[in-house]
Amino acid sequence: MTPRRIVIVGAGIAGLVAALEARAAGCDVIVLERGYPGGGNSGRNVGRIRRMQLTEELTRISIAASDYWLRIDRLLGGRNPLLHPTTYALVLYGDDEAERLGALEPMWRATGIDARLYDAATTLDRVPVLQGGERPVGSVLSSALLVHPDAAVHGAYLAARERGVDVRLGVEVLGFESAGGAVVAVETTAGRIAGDAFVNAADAHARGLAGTAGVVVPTHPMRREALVTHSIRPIMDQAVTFYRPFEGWFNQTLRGEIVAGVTDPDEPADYNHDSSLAFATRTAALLARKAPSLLGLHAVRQWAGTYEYTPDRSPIVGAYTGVEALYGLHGWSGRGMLLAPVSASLLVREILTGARDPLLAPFAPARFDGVADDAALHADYYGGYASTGAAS
Amino acid sequence: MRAPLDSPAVTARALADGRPATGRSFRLHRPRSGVCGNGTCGQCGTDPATGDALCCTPAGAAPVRRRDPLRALGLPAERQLPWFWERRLLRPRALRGRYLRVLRGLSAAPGLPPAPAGGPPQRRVVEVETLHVGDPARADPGALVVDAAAGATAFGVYADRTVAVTASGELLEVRCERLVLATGAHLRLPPVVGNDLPGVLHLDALLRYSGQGADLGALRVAVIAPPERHAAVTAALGDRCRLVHVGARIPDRIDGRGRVRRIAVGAEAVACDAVALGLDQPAIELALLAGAHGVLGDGPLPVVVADAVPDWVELRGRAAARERLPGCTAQRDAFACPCEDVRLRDLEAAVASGLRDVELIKRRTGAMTGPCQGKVCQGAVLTALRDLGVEPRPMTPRPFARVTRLADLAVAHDA
Repeated sequence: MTPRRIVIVGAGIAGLVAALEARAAGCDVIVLERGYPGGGNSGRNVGRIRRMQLTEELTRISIAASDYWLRIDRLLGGRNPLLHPTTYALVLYGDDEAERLGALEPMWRATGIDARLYDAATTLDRVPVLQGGERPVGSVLSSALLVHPDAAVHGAYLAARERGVDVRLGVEVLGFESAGGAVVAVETTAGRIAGDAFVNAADAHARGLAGTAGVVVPTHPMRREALVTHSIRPIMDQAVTFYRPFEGWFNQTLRGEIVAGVTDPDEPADYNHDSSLAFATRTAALLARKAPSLLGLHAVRQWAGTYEYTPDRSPIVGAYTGVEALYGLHGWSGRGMLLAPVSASLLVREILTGARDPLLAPFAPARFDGVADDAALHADYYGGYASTGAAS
Repeated sequence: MRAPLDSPAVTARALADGRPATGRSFRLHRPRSGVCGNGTCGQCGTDPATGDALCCTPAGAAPVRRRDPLRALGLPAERQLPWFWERRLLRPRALRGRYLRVLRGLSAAPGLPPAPAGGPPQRRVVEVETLHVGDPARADPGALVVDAAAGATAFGVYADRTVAVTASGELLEVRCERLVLATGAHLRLPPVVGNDLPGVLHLDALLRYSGQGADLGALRVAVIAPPERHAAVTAALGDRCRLVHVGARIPDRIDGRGRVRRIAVGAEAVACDAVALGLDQPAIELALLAGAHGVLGDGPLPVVVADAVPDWVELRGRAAARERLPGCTAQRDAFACPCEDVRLRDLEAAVASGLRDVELIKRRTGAMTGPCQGKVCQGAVLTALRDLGVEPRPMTPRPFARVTRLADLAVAHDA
């Protein structure tokens, strides 16, 4: 039976795009959100849309994801999410990093993306904001996009309402109700809502929600912090990421702010949206090392969000094992803005036709059947992202 | 932020000279002047050599850019909603990148300030019984005092009662048993047309300029403040400038082009060069970071007040005041958020488009997301939203309570 009535939990970019796609296919769609649209990580990210990834599976879906973003304005009712080009610069400070990433060049070439490993001199020439800082050994540069996350979420929310999607804000889902091996309804703070198919797009809260249907999802929440400076005139066109000594990143927004963050390798796995002083000093200190020309900027705000990590740092998209009519659309591990829209679109097609797109093959929830509940906490970070690539 | 000046600030001199505009607004290129006088409001522009606010920079030390060649671009932009780009920009697709680069180049934002010389700040952990932030005259004996006059700034309250302070080359992590906040007040922006004109400023800023020795003798000043403050204002400013009006009633209009020329109070029109507003929004941001709840108060001109203040935190003086401010009729064309050029009518349009949550409206319009982070505008924005039927929930408190230079945070790291 083709589902007619689809209930989606979470009005982030994943849930809203799924709603728009399902509505376009003629379904009745209800989206339930306990806060406001984009109140989770869709409103707490910097909108990096890049094709370059460290595994072939992720690279292939990221290519599709980037293409999807380039035509998303139609889905958003002609609204422009301020998508604009950038250069994604993965800057390397260790010879072992360069070796590891150099080994991925054939994969990048085979998939048709323009990611290349460059030497130190080219890196400093192409990413001049690094001049005067610690000398990198090289970088992987590739063309990429930045999207304004709020513009995308607001566009999707407004378009969803225009098209007759029933978006209910301030409604918290308490759990799924099953009968005969299939989910038949959600229990919410606003009563019971029945449907034919249910999509769990609650990101960091997806694990608890899946648990109410007896589904074990081995993901873990982890705080990620950011800080933002006052606006200045355009000084950089690149989105910089580095992994040594810790993972860090910075880029300039359309409004001219520099946003930056350096992760804490010992960040505990829990829900925590507080801002920490250690983050502020660590980020400033690492910028002092990598891009000292930015030190005259004034920071105006810190903020924090929560990543939902999976053991292999890849998303969970598809039908859960052991229960019918319930689908996962989460586990973004920091790539939600990039992967959620295309994944939502492919998942909706799967729900309606039963046919699974090959791009989604590596991301089935079933791959974690029997995996230890705390698996996401182990394996080194880099290795987690490159588990089937060049990582040893 | 720097220590208060013992000579007039760039903004003080500009006001005294009758040409108060030293900055321009981010989106519409409207001329702006220093409103706060202490580096909080972000309206006066910055010194390109240091990145510091011009109200914290001595006159003569920084050039003042008087003309804004891009002002003409702001005029058509005035008729657009803050999310004008959503439907009007960026077609065809191939032009997107270049178009946006041009657009970014048109903003009135300053350039990259040079990185300051000198080594990284030293990090020091200090444990004290009582930490006092603000007016030292209100401090208890024995308290560690964070005083702007001594060049110290508390920019955040973090977990475990840790207050972060930058002070002359050091980053102090102060663990305290008790936190006393005598942090004074910001301006509560009244929603009247002309409220962003250069020359409209917080009464505290005018007093500060006077204290810096700015020659305000020729300046015609209109003061608007609650009646109980009139005597003190006249005593403090009567012989320093020309007080042409001291009243409690908020003007119906503030008129001028490029700067304040007159105010209209009922049938009366008063010609003036500056409008000093003694309308206080208590400076409670550190209390909110420490766990107090912000709530929109009541009265004709509500401010955001701290509720459920944790028992280890105490607000003192004007930071604790619950003054009843005079009211006025909100005007659609007035600015609610000057940092991001958001007018009351823009908030109205956001609500009319179906957005009913403060966070959504904040992100949609940009209101409260500029350099002041809501300190000057939050009362005006939330009141306007309340009147539109939106629950006036204050924004999530986050550091930095005062803008903080990255160099002052970049402590030597053990990595």
